[in-house]
Amino acid sequence: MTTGPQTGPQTGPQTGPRRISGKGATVPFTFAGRRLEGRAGDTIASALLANGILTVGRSFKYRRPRGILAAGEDEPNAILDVVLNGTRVPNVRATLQPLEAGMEVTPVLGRGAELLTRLLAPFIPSGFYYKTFIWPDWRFFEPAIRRMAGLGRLDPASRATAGPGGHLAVDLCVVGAGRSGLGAATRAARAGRRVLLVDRQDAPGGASRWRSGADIAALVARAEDAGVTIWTGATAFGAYENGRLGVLRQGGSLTLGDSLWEVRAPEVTLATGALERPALFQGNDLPGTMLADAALCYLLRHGVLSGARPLVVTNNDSAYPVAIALAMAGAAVTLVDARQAPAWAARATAAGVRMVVGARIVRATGRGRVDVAVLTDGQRIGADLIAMSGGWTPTVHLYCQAGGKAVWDEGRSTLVPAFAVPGIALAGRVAGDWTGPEDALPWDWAGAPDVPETGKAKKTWVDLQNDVTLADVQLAARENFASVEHLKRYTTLGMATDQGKTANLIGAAALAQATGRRTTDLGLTTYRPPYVPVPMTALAGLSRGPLQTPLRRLAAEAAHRASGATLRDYGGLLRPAFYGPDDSVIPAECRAAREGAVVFDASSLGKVAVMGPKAGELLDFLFASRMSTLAPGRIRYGLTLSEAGTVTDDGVVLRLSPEEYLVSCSSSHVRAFVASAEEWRQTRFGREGVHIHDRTAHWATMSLSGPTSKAVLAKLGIVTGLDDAAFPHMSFVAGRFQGHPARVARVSFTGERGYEISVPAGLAIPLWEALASAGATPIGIEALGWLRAEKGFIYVGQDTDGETTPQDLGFDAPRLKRREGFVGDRALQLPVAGDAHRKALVGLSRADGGTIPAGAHLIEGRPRRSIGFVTSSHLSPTLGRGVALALLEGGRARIGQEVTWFDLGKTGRATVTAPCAWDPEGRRLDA
Amino acid sequence: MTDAGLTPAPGSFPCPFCGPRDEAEFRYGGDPDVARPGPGSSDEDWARYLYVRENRRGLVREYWVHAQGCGLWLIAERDTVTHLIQSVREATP
Amino acid sequence: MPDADRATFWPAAPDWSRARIEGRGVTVTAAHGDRGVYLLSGPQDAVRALAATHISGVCACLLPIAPDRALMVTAPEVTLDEGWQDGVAVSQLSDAHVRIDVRGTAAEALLFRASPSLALAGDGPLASAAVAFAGVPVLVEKRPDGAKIHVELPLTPHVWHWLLAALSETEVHP
Repeated sequence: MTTGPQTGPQTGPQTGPRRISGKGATVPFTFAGRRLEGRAGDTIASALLANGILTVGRSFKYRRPRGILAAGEDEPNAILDVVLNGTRVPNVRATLQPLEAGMEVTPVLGRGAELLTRLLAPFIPSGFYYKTFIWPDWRFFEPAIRRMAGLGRLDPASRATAGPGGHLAVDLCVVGAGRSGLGAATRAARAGRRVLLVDRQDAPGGASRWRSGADIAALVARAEDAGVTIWTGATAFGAYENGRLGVLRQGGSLTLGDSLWEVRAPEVTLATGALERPALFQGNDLPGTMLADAALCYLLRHGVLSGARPLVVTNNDSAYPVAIALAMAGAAVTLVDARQAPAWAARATAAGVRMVVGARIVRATGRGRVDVAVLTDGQRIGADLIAMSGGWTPTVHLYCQAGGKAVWDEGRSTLVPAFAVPGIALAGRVAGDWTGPEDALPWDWAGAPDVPETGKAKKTWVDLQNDVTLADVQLAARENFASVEHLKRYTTLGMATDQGKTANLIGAAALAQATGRRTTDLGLTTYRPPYVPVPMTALAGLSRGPLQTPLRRLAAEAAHRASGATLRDYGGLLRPAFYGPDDSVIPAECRAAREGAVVFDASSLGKVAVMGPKAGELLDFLFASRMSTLAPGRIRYGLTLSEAGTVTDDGVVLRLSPEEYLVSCSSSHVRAFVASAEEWRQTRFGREGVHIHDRTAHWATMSLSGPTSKAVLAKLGIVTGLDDAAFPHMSFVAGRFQGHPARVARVSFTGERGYEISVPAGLAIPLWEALASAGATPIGIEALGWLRAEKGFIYVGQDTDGETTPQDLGFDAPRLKRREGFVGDRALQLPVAGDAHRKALVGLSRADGGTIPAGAHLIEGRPRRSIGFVTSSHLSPTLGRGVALALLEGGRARIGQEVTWFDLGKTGRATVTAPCAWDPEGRRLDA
Repeated sequence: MTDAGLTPAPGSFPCPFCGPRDEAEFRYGGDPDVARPGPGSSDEDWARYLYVRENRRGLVREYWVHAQGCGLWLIAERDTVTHLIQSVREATP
Repeated sequence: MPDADRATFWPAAPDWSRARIEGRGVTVTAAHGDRGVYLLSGPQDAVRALAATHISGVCACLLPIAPDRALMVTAPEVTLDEGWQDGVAVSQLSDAHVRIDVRGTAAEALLFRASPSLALAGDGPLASAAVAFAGVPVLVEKRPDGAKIHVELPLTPHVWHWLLAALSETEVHP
């Protein structure tokens, strides 16, 4: 019933949104601590409206109160934190999330006085961070500004989960289960194709659930009968290459997590409909402004009347069913149409709607909510709801993501696809088909974006979520950011989590007007997935926590844990760092290594067999030194290089037999070595002459070393003769351990006498325990690193960088011998390879015996210049002083000289030495 | 060796030995038409071999290796615009 | 180097001889070191001939990997010399793999989820047993009601925990 023209503000008892119809089970929840009740079938948004809640949060920048604008994924304001069953989920979209009993919903308000923000507002227009808050350092201001903005809170203790997700292959995927989508899916399924139909709502029907008189139940039944698979609560968020769609399916509960599906569909039909545009006027962000279609959805789907005195403002026919429905629900409706002679006016008037034609809203005012609207003809209308329809923007996102291009058609005021994309079809409103089944009157839904020249541009909102106003768009135009892509980045319009669904088009129209062009000439910014925010938990799926990276374990890991080892991830391998709760045990491990016998688990070191008549040839090619001349039973150290001549790994090669070699490369480099060997085998040498087998996992290897290691090894009885003459350093012999074949190689990582004992992996723990019982002390990777640094034994990737060549490390032979036929050979002959100023490996020693921080720069000159850096550094228990390795320009020529080091403001002096600080002659190998 | 079928299932790669497999099992292996300069090559030849590559629009030849499968090195013809693979065969020296 | 002690972050590996996951229509067990396993490389007929003379015992099989590569699983007593044997390269890998046995009415769905390649192959036999599974390379031996997954010992804890996590997830869709 109409109540006649209003002349001033009215605040009757029934102001604001409330539930007026429908029934269902009660769902209790809280909002900002208040106990409220919703109904089964509610979204959080409809439940809030049903309880009369108008303000659901504050805006990002200016902290203005904001209300619920929309009913779907285009909602910019109602983003809330929800706690359910002890799990806190931030940034929940109130319009998309079904209400559940026990939800504790909190608005994201931020801290800091609203008054202060109001005062600051003039100083923080678009792009303010490029112009202000710069001195002394932006980072000084950032935390305070972030706090005031108020972003969702993460709960570190939260163990939010994701659903199972998976892959699905179909013939056709239809996105959107409205009338058109259901029709397209049914037709295809009847033709025998496997069809998946996805829709983000909790039930099929799309906009038909509150528009048009379509019999959804019948349409759904037909689709199901035809064999269509229907997923509800499922949003297709991205179109990816090769006919793949990303689909996010809601879990049955907020805490059960969304799941990510990859749907492979060579054919996709988009029946995604269109999104309504808001109107532009001063004060168009006040709580109580809503999209007209949303008001209809809340009324017909949820029985919520969003206002007792709604003012419907429109430039097209689609708002008329809204006004009529609101009037039939008992609201006092005024409808303001910008057009002079709208076709539906008589129908509206007959339904009791008060019509105003040829007018627009200039401004809306009110204290924290809509109260009065002032029109262009001067009328002041009291209202508690402004339902806006500024036209419709087809939801072409997935089409554009798949390579399509949407252009703005000035004549029809809509987006049209510029060309067809293979495999993508559009149906229904997204394709511009707005016919309804029972429409008698033609329905003109096109409404051009209307950019006002009245009202304060500073208070006319374009992008609600990022707080971008019409004034910001005009500022951008004045500062010559005239392209839509620049407008976006300069003002952040369209960059919020709603990706400008209600803002992009009107922003482009505003920019067009400000620069005297047509909207169609501006184009649109690039559409990128995801269409809706996808939780990181869904993207990660099972790849979280310990499952994120497949970590390799040692066969003897249980023994290391039992020995109290601290385990760490070293290059994708879980290995003992040291045997104790903290690194204070490392010096003792080092002392044991130099004075007695120690053992460390070297099982992860590569054991790659290279076999066949061409095996030697291949290895000669892969290594910078010749391996084919190695005698059976002997071991040779070698470097592998890149084709740029840089060192990629160091390792040893064992000659097992004339046509069988075993390459022992660094643990973290095994896969790369095998891959490189296979590359050259298959593309250069030929598959028949050589084969590569990775035997690493079959063997457990324990490295026993130290002055007393020989005696310890003798106790185990693995090999019969340990005499150095028969078993020299860099050779190996076969043996037996507990009835199984074993191999013992004399190799040293520490510079002390050393033996590598290899047994089948099933015997890893018995071997470890046998060595411990025989008197070997376990040491971890950290101690090993110290011991190696004292000998100048490099860690590739730590003591080398992307430019380090063999000669930089003191291995001059590969370059000087000018041998050809190995990876990187030619690179070693380039002029740069012979440059005297190259960074070379050296040692460093402080006069006072102190340590130099690892990573410290070596500097000279004014202004000072870095001439190198410290790669390894520790306080050596062996030498009783700090030991360091460094890469230093012209390093070898500087041995004996002093150099300055610099680290985080501190400087000091050090003497350049040879890299090896302990037993340079290597006598201890045979001690 | 046999040529694999064209236009494989979306997101899959046609290995000539294994059949259509998830493309994540494969790794790009470089340009098969860049010859390694032989002995006596100039510094420029080597620099070009290291760093200079064409970036062609349309059908290109590429090395791909079935890293988490049979391990074969393959040569594929792929369209850099549509990303569709036209042919795949085993690589040979 | 990372700072945290990761001993608790990564759960310890179970004892493979006793490890078992049961439920949701799937039974998962494991075995290690109880077979003779040899990797054979060479011309296909030479590999097959060599395997034919050494394959014995129940559950013995020759898994194809590449045109010139296959894994022979045979009785534990069977021994071959490693190295270049008359044109065939031989490596013993008896302790290198753990055999994870996945069986049951829901096994196929779980296996397809772990390996998109297995899902692509569907019901048919595998030309190559080598596939990516839970993100790592394995060898799959298909069985009537599931499969045996041969995974490298160092990576077995990862695959095992992946299967456990996948089976623990709540299914919310029919």
